[in-house]
Amino acid sequence: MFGRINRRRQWHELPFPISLLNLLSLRLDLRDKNLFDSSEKIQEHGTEEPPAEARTARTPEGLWNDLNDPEMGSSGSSLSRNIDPRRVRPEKPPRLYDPSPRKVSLELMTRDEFKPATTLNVLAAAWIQFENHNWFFHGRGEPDQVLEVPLEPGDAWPEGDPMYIRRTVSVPAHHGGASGDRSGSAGSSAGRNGGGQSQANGNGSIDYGNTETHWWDASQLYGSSQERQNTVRSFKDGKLVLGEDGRLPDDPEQSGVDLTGFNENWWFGLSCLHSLFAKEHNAICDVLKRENPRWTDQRLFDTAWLINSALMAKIHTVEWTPGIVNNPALWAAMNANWSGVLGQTIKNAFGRLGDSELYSGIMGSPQEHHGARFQLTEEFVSVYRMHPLIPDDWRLYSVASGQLLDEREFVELQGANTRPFMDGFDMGDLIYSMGVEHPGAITLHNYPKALQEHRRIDGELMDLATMDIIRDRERGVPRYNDFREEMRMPRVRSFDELTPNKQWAEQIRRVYGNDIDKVDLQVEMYAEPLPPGFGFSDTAFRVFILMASRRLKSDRFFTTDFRPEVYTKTGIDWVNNTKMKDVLLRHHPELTPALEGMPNAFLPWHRVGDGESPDGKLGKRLAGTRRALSAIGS
Amino acid sequence: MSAGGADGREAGLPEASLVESVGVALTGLLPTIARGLFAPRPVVSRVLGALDIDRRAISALSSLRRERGGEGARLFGGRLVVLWGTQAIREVLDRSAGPYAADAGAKGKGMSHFQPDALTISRGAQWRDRRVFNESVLAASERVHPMAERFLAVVGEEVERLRIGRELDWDEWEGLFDRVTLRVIFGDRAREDQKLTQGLKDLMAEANRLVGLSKGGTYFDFYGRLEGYLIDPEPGSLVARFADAPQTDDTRVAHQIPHWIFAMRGTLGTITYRTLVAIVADPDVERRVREELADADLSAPSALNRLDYLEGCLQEGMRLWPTTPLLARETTEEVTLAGERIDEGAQVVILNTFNHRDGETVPRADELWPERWTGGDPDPYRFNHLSHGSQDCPGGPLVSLLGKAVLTRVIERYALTLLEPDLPAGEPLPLTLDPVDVRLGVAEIESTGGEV
Ligand code: HEM
Ligand code: HEM
Repeated sequence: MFGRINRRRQWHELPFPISLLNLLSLRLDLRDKNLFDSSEKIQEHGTEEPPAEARTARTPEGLWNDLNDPEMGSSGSSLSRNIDPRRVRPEKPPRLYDPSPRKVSLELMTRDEFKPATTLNVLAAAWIQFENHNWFFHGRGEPDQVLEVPLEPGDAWPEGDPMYIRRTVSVPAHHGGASGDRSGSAGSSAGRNGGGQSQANGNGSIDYGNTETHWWDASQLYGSSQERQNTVRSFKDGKLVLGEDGRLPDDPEQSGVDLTGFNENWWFGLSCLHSLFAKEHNAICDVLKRENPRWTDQRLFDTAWLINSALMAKIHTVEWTPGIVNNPALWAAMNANWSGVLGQTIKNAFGRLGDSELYSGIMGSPQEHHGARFQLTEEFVSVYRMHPLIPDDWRLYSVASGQLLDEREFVELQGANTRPFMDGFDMGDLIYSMGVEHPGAITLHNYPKALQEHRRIDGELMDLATMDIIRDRERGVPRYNDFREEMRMPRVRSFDELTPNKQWAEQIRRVYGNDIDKVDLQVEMYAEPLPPGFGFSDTAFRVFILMASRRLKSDRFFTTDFRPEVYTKTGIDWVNNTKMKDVLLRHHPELTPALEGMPNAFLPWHRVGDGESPDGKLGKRLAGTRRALSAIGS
Repeated sequence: MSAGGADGREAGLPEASLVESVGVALTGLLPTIARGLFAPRPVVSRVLGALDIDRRAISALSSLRRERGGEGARLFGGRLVVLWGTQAIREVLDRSAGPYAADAGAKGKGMSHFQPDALTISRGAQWRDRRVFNESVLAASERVHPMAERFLAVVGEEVERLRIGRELDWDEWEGLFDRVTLRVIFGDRAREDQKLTQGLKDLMAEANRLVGLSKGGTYFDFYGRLEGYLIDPEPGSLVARFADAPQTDDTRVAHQIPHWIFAMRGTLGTITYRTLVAIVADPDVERRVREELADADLSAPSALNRLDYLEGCLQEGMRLWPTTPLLARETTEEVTLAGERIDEGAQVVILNTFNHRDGETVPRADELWPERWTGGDPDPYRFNHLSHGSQDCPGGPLVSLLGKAVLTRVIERYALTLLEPDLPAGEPLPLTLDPVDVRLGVAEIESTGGEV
């Protein structure tokens, strides 16, 4: 029944709570039709006895999460598709360069003035990059395997024409099955730098390996290989290595950057979050050790890891997501996702909805892959390219006085500059500064200048906006209209249907030579009118909503084994009773005045020193958000 | 405020009484809207015709002008100004799209449903931007369009391909103009794209409603189809001229096209049909037209340009039954018009239906008199079927080229008899001539007369 409604009206145009049901039906619908596995079948019956320790703990490589199909979701295994792999067409020249991705970057994405996302804070931006690094990375590629993007005459690109961009060549994508060689091959050392080849799947499309584990296992903190994990552990009381000053150590291979599970594309926001959750890990260890004085370092580590990663997944689901998609129907749906505790409103309206997923929630329910091996997808990677979130100009404040301490440009606080920059500040002030400032809105003409001409830590110069475009084309993520069709959304017909902004419609028309079917997914996600309260597009949202529940539902440690026997009672309570704000305040009590009364740490915090938080209108809107969030009981 | 004349008549824009105001509004303005601004409403038109409402409007205005004199009248306390004096009309039309905006009221509202960024409802800088583009593609200032030769060939082929029985009815004629329009604007590959024209027709029919309009599937379908033709424009078509035409992101090039479509297939189609009817209705006129054609090379744009008598017929067709019955403007600032102060937001109306047929200012007003146009425009700013001034019709040269091309090819090929309505030569031509009421008998002429 909702299939019909879905077609005629966008879900966000429907009144709440019809929109909630519609949303759930959309998720089920997409789940049925959009889960394709571009590699192999799920292995239903194990051919090998799982190692005893894997039954109650995560493994660094993400092996043995499914006890019958040990390779599923492990590091180095391939990213799959949300669309039918038979229709995946990696683009080749001339189409690959039509229109020039650099032209798209310059003419449609260049930030003219900073456009803030006023309902969010910069912590929300840092958070999503932090989580992306938990989920996926394609590797760095090889300097001698490049794409050559032709430049238009007059392009001021410092390295001249053409622009060289490394091809995606990831770690060897291995396909599951117990027969596969797992003896440390699974991305272990390759996980750092990414090398090797990718695998053709027979119909022109290519599978790329994920250098990270696909699981929501906090691999950005704990690494995706045993070798990496060993470098971040103290091997004492289960703890991670943290300096006296509460900082992670300097990476011996890359000075200026912290040593942690994944540290590419580093900047101070990531450093703050990595440090924060390393502290949380160690705090969990302290409690576990007190309660279980005889546990080994390994057991303490494994259990704290489980608890800490579940906590991060929960924060993402019930705090970050509702923060960035500020829409009541979604809050309720996400909450249902996490705990099964129906929002009071829905409960009153519908009574008991039966023994459904909605009712019982995912946490602690049986592990279920919905017919496809759990793998993250190329489409999932694509919709998270949210680089416009990053501001170019940064203001740093004191949380004690509210005073402006310094103003910096992005290059000064990232890459190898990160640690030296942070040496000059208290971490509490840095976190506070992210808490009160807005990230960029994810729209056209708002791409950070710093990333449009970004010198990576290894010296390579890149226009990340150009890369965001060409990566989708290279990997065969469909252009916008084809993508919509795959996502069960009607194709758009004219440029005016793409966006109500006429200037943008014309610019897009011009850049794409009148051909609506050529418009790139990234461009349109930036141009699409956003549903009310949304920080990103409806199109991105469709992929996200599909994968959001899957990341939980497929993971044994969020389902079958989310139980006291595995986590400890303390662990389950820790996950259920902790919010982002609690984590922040546990390790940075000096943030208290800024977080007072905040229901969600990803909304703009109170500015210290000038009384109430944000100004008039926004203040009211946030007050509404706060009320709604507490009504739903997140 | 206005200076009273010695004879009690006033010079500028005398104020009309409420009764007079209502009279003009009811007979002159409302019927235009009721007939359907953007798509004809046949039933309403018929009823209004039966009431002879247009005659009444003319006599109401005539007596108002006679009593008060001046360049026009201010109605409803100056909120509505109706103009008849060419002096005042010139003042308005020369500053059209500036202080006198053409996007007012029903026109602006209705049109923005199907062409929100069209030139004709644009103002100020945007209007100038779009005007330059339109003039460039349509070659408004050139007597012969650079693509004229191909356009003439298209018309020749399409008339050749007509398979008419014993009568040439309106449907057939519309089909002819449909195909000519599609081929001229988009190229040969668009010839059968009925969906495109139907899409526009549907949108225009919706626009008649004027209330509760919102953009939906029809709109996006239509513009999507249209944009499809811009991807790889067919050489020789108007859209092939886009690449070299001046434009910015404000121009909204695709949005300029719908006006051309409906003006060419609808307006021009209607005008040529009525002109053909009027020619055939008067044996004397028809004879002179045929004489003029006798030794002209109809495939040569220059030859067509020399057909002055036929040109006069076409102008008369437009004058007699102006497809734009009134030109409406809204003042965007306080202005002085005919020496009078007019508030911002006032409606200024030029009633072509009246000005073209007012027997007291127009000699032989109700006759088809082609010689009227032999020396050019006989009374500038009186006849505004193509408008005048800054916002005049940039399609003028194409109107004349394509209109004459179709007329010559049809007249050359067929012997024609007007079966209905009865329009006896020498009698005043009616104020309305609805093409669907026409029956034209045709017979193919064996050997074409022109080619000796
Ligand atoms: C708001 C925060 C950010 C988000 C959500 C984000 C997201 C992403 C995503 C989804 C990818 C694609 C990864 C893949 O293909 O495997 C990516 C790639 C990349 N990002 Fe970010 N990013 C963020 C911030 C940054 C920052 C601050 C930098 C630089 C300091 C950066 C540098 C890069 C680079 C170099 C790539 C690789 C491009 C390529 O080879 O295709 N990102 N980012
Ligand atoms: C017999 C056929 C035609 C007649 C009687 C006619 C008449 C007119 C009139 C009276 C106006 C002024 C409207 C106003 O200001 O309210 C006008 C404007 C216009 N006409 Fe035509 N037209 C005809 C054919 C065409 C054709 C074939 C084209 C294009 C191919 C065209 C394009 C335009 C445009 C673009 C404007 C707007 C000019 C502006 O606002 O600056 N017309 N036409």
